[in-house]
Amino acid sequence: MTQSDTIPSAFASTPWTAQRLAPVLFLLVLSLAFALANSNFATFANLQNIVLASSILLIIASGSTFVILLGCIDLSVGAIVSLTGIATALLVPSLGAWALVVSVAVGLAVGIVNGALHVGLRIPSFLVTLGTMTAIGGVSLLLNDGRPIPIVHPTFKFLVSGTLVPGVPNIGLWAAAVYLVLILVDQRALFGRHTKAIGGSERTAGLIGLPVGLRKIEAFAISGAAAGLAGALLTARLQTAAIAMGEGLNLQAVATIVIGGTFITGGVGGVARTLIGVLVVVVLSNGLDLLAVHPYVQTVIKGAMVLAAVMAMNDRRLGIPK
Amino acid sequence: MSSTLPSAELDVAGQSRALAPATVRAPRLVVDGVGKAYGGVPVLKSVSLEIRPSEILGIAGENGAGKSTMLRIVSGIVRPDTGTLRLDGKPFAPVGYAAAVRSGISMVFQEQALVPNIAVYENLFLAHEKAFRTRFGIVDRNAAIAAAAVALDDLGLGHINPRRQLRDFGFEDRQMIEIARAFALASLHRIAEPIILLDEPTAAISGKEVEALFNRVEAFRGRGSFVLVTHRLSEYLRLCDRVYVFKDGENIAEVGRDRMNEARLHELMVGRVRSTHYYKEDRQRPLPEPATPVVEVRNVSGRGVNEVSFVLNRGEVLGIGGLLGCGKEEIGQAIAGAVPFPQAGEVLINGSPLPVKRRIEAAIAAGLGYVPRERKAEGLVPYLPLRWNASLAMLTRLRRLGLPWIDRGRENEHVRREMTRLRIKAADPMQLCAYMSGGNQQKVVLAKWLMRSPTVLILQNPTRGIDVGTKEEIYGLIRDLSEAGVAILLISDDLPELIGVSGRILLMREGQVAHEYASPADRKPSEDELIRHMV
Amino acid sequence: MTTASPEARTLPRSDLLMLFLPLILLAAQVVVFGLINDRFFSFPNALNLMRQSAVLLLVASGLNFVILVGSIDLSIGAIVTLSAVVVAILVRDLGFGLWSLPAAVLVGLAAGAVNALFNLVGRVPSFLATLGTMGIFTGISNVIGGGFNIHFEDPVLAWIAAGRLIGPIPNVALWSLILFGVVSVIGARTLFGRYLYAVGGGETVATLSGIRVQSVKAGAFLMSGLMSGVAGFLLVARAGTATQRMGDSLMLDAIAAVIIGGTALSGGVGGIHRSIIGVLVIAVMSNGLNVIGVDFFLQTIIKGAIVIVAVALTLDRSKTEFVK
Repeated sequence: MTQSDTIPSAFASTPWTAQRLAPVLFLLVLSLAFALANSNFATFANLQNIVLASSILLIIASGSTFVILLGCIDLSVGAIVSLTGIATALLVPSLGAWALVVSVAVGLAVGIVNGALHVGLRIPSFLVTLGTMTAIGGVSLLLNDGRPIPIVHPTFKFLVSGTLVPGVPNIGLWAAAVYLVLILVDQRALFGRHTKAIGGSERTAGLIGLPVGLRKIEAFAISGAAAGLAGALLTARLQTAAIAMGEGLNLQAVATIVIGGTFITGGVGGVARTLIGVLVVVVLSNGLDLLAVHPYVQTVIKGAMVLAAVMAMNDRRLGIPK
Repeated sequence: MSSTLPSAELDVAGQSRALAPATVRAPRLVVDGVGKAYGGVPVLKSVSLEIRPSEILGIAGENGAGKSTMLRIVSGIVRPDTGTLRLDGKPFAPVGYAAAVRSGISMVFQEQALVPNIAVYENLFLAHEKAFRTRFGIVDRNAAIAAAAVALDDLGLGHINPRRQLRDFGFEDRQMIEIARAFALASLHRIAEPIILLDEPTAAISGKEVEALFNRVEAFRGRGSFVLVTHRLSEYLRLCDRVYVFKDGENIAEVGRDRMNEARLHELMVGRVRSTHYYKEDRQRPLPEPATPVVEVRNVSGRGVNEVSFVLNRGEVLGIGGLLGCGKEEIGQAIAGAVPFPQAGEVLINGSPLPVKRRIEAAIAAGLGYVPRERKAEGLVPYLPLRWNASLAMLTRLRRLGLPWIDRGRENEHVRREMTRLRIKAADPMQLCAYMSGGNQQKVVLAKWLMRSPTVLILQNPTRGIDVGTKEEIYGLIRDLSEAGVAILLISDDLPELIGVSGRILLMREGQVAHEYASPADRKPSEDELIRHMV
Repeated sequence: MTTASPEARTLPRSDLLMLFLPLILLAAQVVVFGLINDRFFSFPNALNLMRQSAVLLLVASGLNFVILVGSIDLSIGAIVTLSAVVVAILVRDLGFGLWSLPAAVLVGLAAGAVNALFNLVGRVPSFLATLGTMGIFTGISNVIGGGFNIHFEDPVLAWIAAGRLIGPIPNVALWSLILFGVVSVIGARTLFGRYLYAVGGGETVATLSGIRVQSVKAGAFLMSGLMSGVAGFLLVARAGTATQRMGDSLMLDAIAAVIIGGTALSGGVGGIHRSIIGVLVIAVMSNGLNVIGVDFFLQTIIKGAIVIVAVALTLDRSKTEFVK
């Protein structure tokens, strides 16, 4: 019998090949380069900075990984962060630290709406989330009248900036907790398995009887909830909330997921790998900041980075996508 | 039981042979008056049949006769528009395949319904993981892996490690895993007497795998029922107790074991004796001597193809046959340039070798036309009008004064001419192709190439899913073209068609040409002879 | 005389309805807004409408090429901004005057080429490629412009935008309509236009029929970039100032306009010439909402909802089996 398949053998089973190791190597090289280029890079204080910056991104990216594993995309995470950040700022005076719960709930709700519209109306996910992103932007503007909202609340601040574990800002603990829980969901729960199956072959999954629509809604819900949590924590950290909070997070989240090794087309990858992607992106930003590279130039670099990552990590045999 | 034929076709003796007890048990599944239409086109028209306990039932029929749709309805994938089903006496209307599995019906899918990027055991039990839940609601993976190992072993697949990802395995192994799944799920749900549907299970396997499958099926006898759909009539003869024959969406005959033979089945399937008239064999002429080669394939190797060489002559109809995966489709694609390839060897048209890059354009410019296998995905653009589809390959010749401006007048002229020649039934040349019948659609694809007056035509399964009348027209067209000197390569799964239409037949196996048969009008080879070299 | 768009032939009734829906929508809006505030029907407002829709018409027409072919271009807004910034700098600092128009065209073409490169050579799905280039182009605008508003004064450009060549019609609307006419003809009567439909409706079929799919797609991205470049020129000529996020809002508006106009997201259905219907619907909506005094914030929310509704309603018949 010949090797010719009727199912295109799109994915190579390569546990420890160059593709998997590449991001790790890249991270090491990057860190080394920055450490050599600037003496401030390898300091404890800078490390704390990196942890702080990574935490938010890790939460968002981990949450969105399931959406990407399914083969979809969530472009509304940045807007959700802004919205929930502002909502949190408005609610902290009355609810204290419980505003966090509301924040997650709002994110969850938006995620469910995203999923429902995508599944129910059969609109491509990028367009649905583009639409909700715009709509949410409007809501955010309404809420804060275009002005940043400062907050003063010691307990709330402690949630993020305090240090339960000496040396590690609390926000790092939040991020670690979310990350680990989502890894468990990814690798142990049926949800994770089904997500990969659907991403790998949606036609088959539907045929066999997997609840494809339900899984998609769940994935968007997780993505939204994670973004909601991130929004609240970001407000706590910045002690203020503004429209621009979530800017650029969309692209960064996608970049981290792809750099980590999850295929943009879905089916292959996982939450665990996202950590590497986050570190790469954050170290890059951090290093460029230390080297006083202009923020505008950084935007260009970051945009190029996403594309480079996708090109490098893409599966060649899939042919030219739409 | 409503059979449309007189009971002379029923074989009571054959029926009782399989059962030990003297009493005849009630049928397991009764299908009554089931109908199904897609987009207004009826695929099944009020079909009734029954599946009896401990039997191996066959459903035979040409492509498009409705066999696969019937299986899909029985397995819950598709809901019928009309009619009912009863399983063990109770109404049966499964919502989806998983529900059917839980009720005891599982299916081996024609296009492997497997997910490449998860493990084998996960594939086997996808959507049925709940059966492995422990007290705490966690899925017991080890139990699943063990159950998978047992199922694989039963089919002689002990060499497959259920933990490995599916994509690590080759095509044949995957086909066997697909088969194993049906059995595994039946065991999983502890179905006492499962009904297992086999949709072309041997289309892609050969030799010992086929033996393993048949042994397993026969070992199951008495413990469940099977429904077999296959292209190889000899398999019905070998395994089945009864065969229903479907034609044009209707169940037209039930043939018992004793009255079964290939010729009879074929006659029922096609509606006429495989006479010289259907394939226009009376119009087949021997080639003039010396034959003029138009296409030369020299040592072509690539994905699925290994050192293939042959010659296609002017005015000849060369048929290529073989099992799924033998490479016949790939060689057609290689000549036309439809896939990036080959890795070695060359293809010459009229003495000039085709380049590797931009091969399709070069081939088309050299006078080649390629009618692909999948009409709607590869042959025409469904939501474009007839006229646009027909002129698609010709547009560069329809320019006004050399500018990239389409000369609509000339376009219309050409299209109308082909519509008349091919007898394409359409009210208006701007009609969307999606709403046309399969036969008409195929004619549009043919028109696209005929407009260019090709010298070579590659036809892949050209009559798949087309009504008998249009098929005859196409066979007539093939004769017309070969008389005019067009060299035709006919790649087909349909053995009788291959035999009837071709002047020469190549059989491929495992990427190589295994045998060549002459097929002159007066001495056509039989299906059996061919199958022997395909397997 | 047959029309260019293939849908109006022997369609089931539901599809015919879909065809006329945007016109109905347009008519409904006009009636509703006019009833609420009859200032909507005033002559100055009509002129306003023309001015406001001119730029969108260009961007939407260009985008139509890409969507027809089955891809998407999210970077159009950023290209408009980039082009505007480049024009402003050339006019203010180098006195380019009308020569800034070819510069804008070049910027647009270059941007389109970059998009094509990432999508076709880099094999990045178009939505992601153009999402990335959106960021890159925005960044470049920022770098070139330094983040400031760039103001200039040029009588020629001012006339191009605000002058009146023919009667009371603002010039900007005139140029826009002319260019729209040109690309509509390209879409309807040329080989390239026909190939767009083929590639969008069935890429495999197109390849097997000998069409150079890559070239067609690249051409689509170039057209999109080109039109956005010209749009940037007109936009900044009209405003007299280039600001950092000038073109942002155009992206969603253009997507909505193309879809409402009847070009299906999956490609292969619709037509360049239909952009004008969609643009009118969107422009009338924005204009009308302004006239009756709706909050800007609310307008954004409505816009987002409209896009979703538009796509849902014009559920294209090509019915991609599995929407991702």
